[in-house]
Amino acid sequence: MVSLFGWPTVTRAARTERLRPAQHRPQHRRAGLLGPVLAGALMLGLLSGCAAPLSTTGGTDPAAGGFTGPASTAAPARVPSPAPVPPAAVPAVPRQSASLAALPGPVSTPVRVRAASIGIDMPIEAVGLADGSAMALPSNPAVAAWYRYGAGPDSPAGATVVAAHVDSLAYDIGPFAQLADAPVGTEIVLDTADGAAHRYTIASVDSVEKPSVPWASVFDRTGQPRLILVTCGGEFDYEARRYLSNVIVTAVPAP
Amino acid sequence: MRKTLAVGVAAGALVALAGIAPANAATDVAQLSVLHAVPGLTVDVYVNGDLTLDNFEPGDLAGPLELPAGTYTVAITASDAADASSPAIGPVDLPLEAGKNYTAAAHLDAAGAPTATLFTNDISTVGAGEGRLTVRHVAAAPAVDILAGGTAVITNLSNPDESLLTLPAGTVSASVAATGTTDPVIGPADVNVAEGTNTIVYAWGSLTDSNLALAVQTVGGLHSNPDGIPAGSAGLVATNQPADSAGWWFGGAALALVLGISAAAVYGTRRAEARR
Repeated sequence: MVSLFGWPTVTRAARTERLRPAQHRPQHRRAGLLGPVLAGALMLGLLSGCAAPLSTTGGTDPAAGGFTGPASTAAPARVPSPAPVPPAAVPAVPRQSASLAALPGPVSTPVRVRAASIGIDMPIEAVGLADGSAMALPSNPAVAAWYRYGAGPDSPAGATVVAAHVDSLAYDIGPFAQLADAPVGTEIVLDTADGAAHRYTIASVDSVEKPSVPWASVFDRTGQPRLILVTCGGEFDYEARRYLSNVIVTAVPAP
Repeated sequence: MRKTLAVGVAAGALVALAGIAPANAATDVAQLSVLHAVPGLTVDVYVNGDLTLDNFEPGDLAGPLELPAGTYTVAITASDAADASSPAIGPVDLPLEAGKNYTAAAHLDAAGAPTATLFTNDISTVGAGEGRLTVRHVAAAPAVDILAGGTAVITNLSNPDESLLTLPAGTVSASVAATGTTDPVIGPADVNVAEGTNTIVYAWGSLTDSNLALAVQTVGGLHSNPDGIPAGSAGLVATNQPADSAGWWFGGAALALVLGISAAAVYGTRRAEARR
């Protein structure tokens, strides 16, 4: 139902019985809300005595909210109204059930990372923080870690962060040592606990000195869904026994 | 080996694909959600005289609306009302400040009469690995205790008060009992206290009408990130292997030795020849 003459703009089938008795208009379906300009123009036409049929197209008026559907196309009987008021737009406000059952489910858990062309095929453990404020990693470089509080492969946004040691004194060099020289376009696959395989291709490989690493970008939970693999590399501080850089691979979902 | 990047150099796709800041970081507007916690009444919600929510059902959450700071007059009417002239609840004035996050709840007071309360949601950052749990009593019921795993973690919470906890992220088996008792009047139900999120649980409904229930709202983006990933301690793939510099020494020493042997051989030969 198109609202004119200053009547309430919100339309629904239940209201038909409350129309003023002198009026009738066919209620085919929920109608589009008109912007104030169009409504004003029609009112001017009516006031001037023209009984113009309503021939507006349907669709969503972005200012008016989420109602869709074509307006009634038959000319209703109407009485010209003095002092027409432009209809107020009802904003499109998102709505959801607040029941417990409607809470989003758990994030899909990656369990394996594979990159056949560079010899990576290793299990993934879900981790949080180590003692302190750094991400925890399994001590074995052949086992990778996924930051469990961030995004997962099925998340609508954000980076899935998977990391592994590049080497250790006990275990020698790990598979992630191959990342530093991996070419752009290399395919990487994450297998998730539900049995699905998520394919990515490398978009960039960076070696960044640790004080300069943009951790907010690495652990970003917003933005395009992507995979970020992290290990260490670059120069080594033989006194402190730590690498000076992180090797950070950014991979995007394969088409 | 990729070139090591210095401070300030953009790190390729790593930075280019990063998202924008979460909506609740906006500091020039207020964020307002509306919870309908009055059982059995479908309503329309008017804000400053304008119909904003139409046919709003009990148990539903609307928003967030982004609104400039100011005072907003909210009236809640039955869903078939023509306008806001005879509201079931209100009109109430809601003062909203920029940068803050609010929930306006339409609910029953302790005696069972419909009312509305404006809550301010805590959107301060929590530590990495933690979540915030907010519990609000908006039910027609006396004071309650909130139990997690059977143990009271919040006691003597009355309508329309709230209580906040910071917890390790994880699932909590939550129930609501009359204060001082442990027999649940709501639950137990699993509540996921999500990391970096304010999980807001509302106890709503009416005890005498036996329709007490839990409603949940989440406000995310409150997380802290780890500040590092230490991922190597043996130096086996270091780009500055000690053999690189030591090699010069070894090589140099070897060269000197070879030259010395050769020189000795040549000198010795000449001396031998000279002796002949």
